[in-house]
Amino acid sequence: MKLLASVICASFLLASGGVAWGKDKTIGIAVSSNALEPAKEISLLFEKSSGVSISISSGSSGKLYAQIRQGAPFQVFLAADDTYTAMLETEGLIAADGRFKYAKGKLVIWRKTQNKHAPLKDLSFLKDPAIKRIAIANPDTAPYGRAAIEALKKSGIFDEIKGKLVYGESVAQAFGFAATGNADVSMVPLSVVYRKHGEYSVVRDDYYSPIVQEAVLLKNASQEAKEFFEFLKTNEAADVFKKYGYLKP
Amino acid sequence: MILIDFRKKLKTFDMDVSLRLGREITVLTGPNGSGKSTLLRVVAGLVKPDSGVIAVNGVTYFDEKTNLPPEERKTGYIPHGNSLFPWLTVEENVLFGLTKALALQEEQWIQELYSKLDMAHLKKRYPGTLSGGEAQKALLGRALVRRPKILLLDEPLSAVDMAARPRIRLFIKEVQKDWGIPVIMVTHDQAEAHTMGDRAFELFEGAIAAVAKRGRIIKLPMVSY
Amino acid sequence: MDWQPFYISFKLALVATFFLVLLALPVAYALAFRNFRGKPLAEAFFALPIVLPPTVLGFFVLVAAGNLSPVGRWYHEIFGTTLAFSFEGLVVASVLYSFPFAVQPMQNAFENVDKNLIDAARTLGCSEWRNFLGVILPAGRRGVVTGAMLSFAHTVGEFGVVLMVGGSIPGETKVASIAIYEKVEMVQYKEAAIMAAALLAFSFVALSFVYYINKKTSVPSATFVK
Repeated sequence: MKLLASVICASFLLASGGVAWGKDKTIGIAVSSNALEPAKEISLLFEKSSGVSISISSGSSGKLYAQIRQGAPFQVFLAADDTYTAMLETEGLIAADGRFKYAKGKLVIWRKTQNKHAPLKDLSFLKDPAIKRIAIANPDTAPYGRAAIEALKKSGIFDEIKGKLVYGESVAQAFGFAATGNADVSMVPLSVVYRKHGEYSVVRDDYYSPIVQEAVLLKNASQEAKEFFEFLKTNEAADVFKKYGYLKP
Repeated sequence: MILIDFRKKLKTFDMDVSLRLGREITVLTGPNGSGKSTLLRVVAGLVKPDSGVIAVNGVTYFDEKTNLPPEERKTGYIPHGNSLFPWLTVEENVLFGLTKALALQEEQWIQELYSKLDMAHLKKRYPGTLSGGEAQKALLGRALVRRPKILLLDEPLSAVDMAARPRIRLFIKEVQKDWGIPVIMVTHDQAEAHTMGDRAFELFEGAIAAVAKRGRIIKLPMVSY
Repeated sequence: MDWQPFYISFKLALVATFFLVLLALPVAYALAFRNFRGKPLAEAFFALPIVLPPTVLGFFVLVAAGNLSPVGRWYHEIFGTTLAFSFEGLVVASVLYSFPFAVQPMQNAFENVDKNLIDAARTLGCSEWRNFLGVILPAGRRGVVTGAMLSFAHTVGEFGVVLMVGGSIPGETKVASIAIYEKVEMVQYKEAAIMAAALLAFSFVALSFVYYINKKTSVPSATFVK
């Protein structure tokens, strides 16, 4: 019993210590999978100039949103669109002036091997029977999954190929399905395939409604987190997003 | 004629036994862990000796070249304790060692066993509901139904209440006398060794320590244990 | 409310349990009764899924099923489809994932079968095969039932592996745990709560049923009534 009590005490100490440590020196930020790579690069830039360290948690926006609502210790949230951020605002969980559009995403279609099937010109090549599986992020939870469905419908091939669709939990997983050779192609944001082997082509942007990605500063944010949030608005940060294929919102 | 002549390395001692037995009741005594049960298991084929010869009625069970598996030896082995299958009735236990065809063929023999052992009324009972004596009858029935060439009994009376013992003893004697089936039985009970055995051997650390013939068994120089 | 994922979960658990019992019986028998070199290694290997995070196992399966691996290409050649994102793929993944939960109770039960019963059966003319069917299986059947029950429960509760290899295809690979996860992600907490409660109730009823059966099939011990 005594042992149990001390273990519980110790874990509370550790937990509270961790939180305190997080508030002093480290900013916890939540980043939607598609923006993970640019967010890492921007964090490095910020860490260099400010000396504050940043810890990134990534996942699908829906999951991160649920975690924030349950009190996860994130101070900044870079979402995959503007729906979750809007919900957080109505729920009063974000700081004053704590919401802005940081990027507009580009949907691409990617495959690992080049020149094997028909060229990646428009989406109609997906009808090719050699293509058995098309990986997209879950359209119910991921904006890029939604955009992929929209584009497939707009191009008029959705009914023909819907049997080929498989759903990743996030864009990162949808990409993984194709990267491991379990799916033939994947439809993901450009940022995910940036610097990866394989070939991609950009999906016409009039095929899907624009994906405006918003960042929010959460209510519990520290001074350092506020500075990071402001840093996201600088040209320096915008250049990084641009490099990864995002458009200006 | 039964030849049991083998050597076997065990953890604490080496067994070295050489016996020639006739169609009689042989009693094995000796302290715990002296190798009595191992001897029975060697004859049954459940323990493989390092070297030697085991032969029963001219059939070689074991020598340098042969090692018959237990299922081909036709021994009636009853291990110490209750080895009835608890999920089967007494009747199902008795018939366990026979194929369906064989059971039909041996119908008469089976009935004879039931009446001789006075256990027809136990047929539908489950082992968990039997007394020690009743269970022993069922075990004997199950072993004998296959017409074994030799009966190997490991302390057959230890779990049988006093009142029921004479009847079981008598039955074992009859098995030997009426059907000519040789019996080797292990016992701790000197009185039992006296009343049952045509011959008795006392084992000590894997070797024969003393021998006695009928009528002189009581004079066995028992090691205190 | 869409209840199809529950049907998929139930079907998956049933099919996986069938194959698990079929495959675990010989393995449990060998581990319980055979002595061979490298037996500890074999035991450790079969216990691995207990230690490995389901996501790691799922990742292995995903990589193995892909057309970059020989296994994946071989499967594709024979069946003309990929193993990932199919119900069959989930069955394979579940069998791997739940294997120790099927084997270990069976192995334990087999090891604890009264040696006297096995010896008696062998001298009664039973070959090893008949001994297994006629003695070891009935004597160890509680372990077999427990192994099957744990396999079933473990498969119903499976999440990480399915998340990695399933692809969440409605009517094919979208199981209850995944559906609940997606409801949470979609911020449909009410639906998530209802489905979670249903899964809880289903699991409780299924487990109670098995414990009840297990109790009913237990046999009075074989000791003498003195």
